[in-house]
Amino acid sequence: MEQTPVKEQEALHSGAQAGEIRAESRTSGRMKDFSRKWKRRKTLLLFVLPAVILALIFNYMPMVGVLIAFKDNINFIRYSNPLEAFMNATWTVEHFQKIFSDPEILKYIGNTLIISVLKIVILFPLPVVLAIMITEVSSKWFSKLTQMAVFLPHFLSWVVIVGIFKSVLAIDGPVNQVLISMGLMDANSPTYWFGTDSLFRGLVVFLSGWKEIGYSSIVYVSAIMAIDPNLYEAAKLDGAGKFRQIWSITLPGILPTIIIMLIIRVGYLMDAGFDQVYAMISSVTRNSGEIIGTYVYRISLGENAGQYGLSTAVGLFNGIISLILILVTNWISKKTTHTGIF
Amino acid sequence: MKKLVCKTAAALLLATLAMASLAACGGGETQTDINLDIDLTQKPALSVLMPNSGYDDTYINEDPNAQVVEDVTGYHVEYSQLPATNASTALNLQLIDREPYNAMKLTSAQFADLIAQDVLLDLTPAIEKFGGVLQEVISEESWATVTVDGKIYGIPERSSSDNIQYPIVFRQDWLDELNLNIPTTLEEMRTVLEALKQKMVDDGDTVNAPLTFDMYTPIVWPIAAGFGIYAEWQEYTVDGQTQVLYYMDSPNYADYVDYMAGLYADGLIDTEVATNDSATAISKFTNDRAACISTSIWSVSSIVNGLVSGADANTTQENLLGYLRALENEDGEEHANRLGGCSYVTCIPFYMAENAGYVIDWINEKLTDTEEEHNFRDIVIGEEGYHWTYNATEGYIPLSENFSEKDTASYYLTGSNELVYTQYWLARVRKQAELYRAWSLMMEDADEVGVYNVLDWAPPLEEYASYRSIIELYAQDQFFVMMIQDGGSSNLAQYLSTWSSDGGAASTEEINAWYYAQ
Repeated sequence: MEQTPVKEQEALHSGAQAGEIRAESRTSGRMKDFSRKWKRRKTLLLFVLPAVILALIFNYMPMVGVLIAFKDNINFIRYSNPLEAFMNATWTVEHFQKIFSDPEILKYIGNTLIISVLKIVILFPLPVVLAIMITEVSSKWFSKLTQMAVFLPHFLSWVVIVGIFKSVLAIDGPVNQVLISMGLMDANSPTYWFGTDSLFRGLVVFLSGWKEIGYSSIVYVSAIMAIDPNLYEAAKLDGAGKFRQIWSITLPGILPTIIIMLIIRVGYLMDAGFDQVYAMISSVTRNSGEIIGTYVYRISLGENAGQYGLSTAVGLFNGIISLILILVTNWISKKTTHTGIF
Repeated sequence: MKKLVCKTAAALLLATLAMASLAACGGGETQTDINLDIDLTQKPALSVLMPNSGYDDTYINEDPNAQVVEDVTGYHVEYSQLPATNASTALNLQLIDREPYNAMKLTSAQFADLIAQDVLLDLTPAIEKFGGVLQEVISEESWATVTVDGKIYGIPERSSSDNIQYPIVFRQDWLDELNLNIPTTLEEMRTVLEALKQKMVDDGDTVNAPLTFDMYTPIVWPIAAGFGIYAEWQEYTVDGQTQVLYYMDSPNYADYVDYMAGLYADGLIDTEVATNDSATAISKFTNDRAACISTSIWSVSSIVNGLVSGADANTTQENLLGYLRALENEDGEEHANRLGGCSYVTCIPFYMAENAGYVIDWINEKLTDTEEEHNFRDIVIGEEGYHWTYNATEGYIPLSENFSEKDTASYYLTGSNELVYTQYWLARVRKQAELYRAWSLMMEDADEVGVYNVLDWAPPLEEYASYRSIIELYAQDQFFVMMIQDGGSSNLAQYLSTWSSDGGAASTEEINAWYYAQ
């Protein structure tokens, strides 16, 4: 609303005559606008420069590497110059044909999606619930203590966590012993938690929740803190109970945060948690547990593997799906809630 | 002022990008010819890449055995080592970075991988000129494992002796208590396991099972022997046609799987085998949570240490354990897996050709073992009267306190003097009474009983090298799936067809072509 008069003024100043095509004047107006903003704010751009350089070097330059997906048996060791190695390998689309025809790879893509969707559906709402619970606790120190306790696991590495749980959930470990003594498990056939294919995905989701829920809740806690306390006062005067307040004030208050977090999370849909699955998987759980990340690692960087072409192709395919997912989610979100990241 | 800032920033950005792209695409010309015209008295310092030792770099460089090598050869060597995990990946990355290693001691799998990538130097001319001793003390069959198209790409390090080394180890005290003998047939094996299971239940342990092993053991050799499977790749005659097959592809593999699945279903095999690492399996055995374990005899010392506390356990304890070498096959014969071939290969990256002559000379000196110069003996077992004594009937006898200094000696070998290594090495086995007993039992009539993996004597095979890790892992995975989830071999045909198309068929073809062309 404010911009129109400015534009018109500028158009007059630049000596545009009546009857000129509107669009043209708008373009030149924008150019003017841009050069004016550029002049006024160019020093500010220096502040983003380091980030831009980092992104160029570490995110954009390596993208050239996707071309490896179209090369056969590229030999990086023999040729000290990667460009030379690249030029000496033959072009191929074989790797993509394999992705779409190999039932193993299709199964691993399926596993990735299933584990990821399970993680989102089951684990995404929990930090919100936890954040609400933490902020509703009236005792300050107890609230802080809980917050600390639940986000500590985030700082342990997956190898450590899996090691801990392998002992806790061992065949003669404490969990099985308790379940047996409570009569919930047959003493002659205790559950083999880490070696049962049908339990594996559930275990992945559970451990992932155990590790990350507390840390993920931080962002919601701060969003709740930012809600105007007057709203709660007013609601109380109107006779709203705790649940009514949460439903009508807290949740709508943090909805934009939830949506943004969801869009970001969906962008990682094709990443079902490499570190975690790599530490947990074994021969008997590969069928339902092998995900794209662990498969790509195994065929490219695993012992004596070195199938760089195929693994890059799988990685590229993975990236394209992720990009589509994030664009679609963002579009849906903009349509329905008018919130989006771009 | 502002203009200056902007210009500086732009210049910096451009410079950074240019540097980054240069760094990514750098590299220069390297010499790839061996310098044969060298003065061997001017010995340069050598940088050698070793396998992981479990110790840090300082330790391996300061080890007295490293000093012995330096003393007898006159070469100062700087040792570095590969990491314990993902060693091959690290090796590839270091070669891409052109790490200046004069020599690299690699496993045969790593060696084959680098041959396929054409990164290794042809050592033939250097060996002809500087390797007089090498040519004498390394056998033709060992050279064959490192020769491709008539060119020698490495110095093979033959194992100390061709050992039969994968027994099932029993708690002898438990067998005695139940009045049981070491089983010899598949039926007896089951009976013994059932009796041991009953003992564990009677002792209040209903959860654990008598037989344990780790997740890297798809083939329990002593049991597989009952089904005629003795080696990973072995000759079988199927329908009148003789060919080399992988164990998963062998005629009796389904029976083996069914037998193991039967034991598993009846609680006679540790429920957690598919997720046991080696240490877990051993700790179960030493903590009364298993009655027998399929392992290698090299675990015997740690098992004895685990079972008997006290510092001198290793030297005093005997007859604590019982060993099953192999069950009889359907014809009542005993055959067992025997390890052969070369455990390590020392080779040189192509870009380090210049000083390759010195490396060959260094190894040549290490393997020299004559009346005047006992270099190889000094490295392997040390000094007479201090580390060992000799008598005609028993051979080399270790002197226990000092001999432990030589525990790490074999790590520093880069090739072995095959004429004398076995007799020296026996001194090392004798150091631990129980280990020596185990080894002697396993090696009884080894020449009649032992069966080699035909690939032990194979040169690097290109197809097989590229598929090896995938087909081995697949076979391992599917064994545990069949034993634990499928409850038998019902899906074996389907798994075999996947195995074949994943590279199993191509590997089998290549291996047979090589084997029958010899």
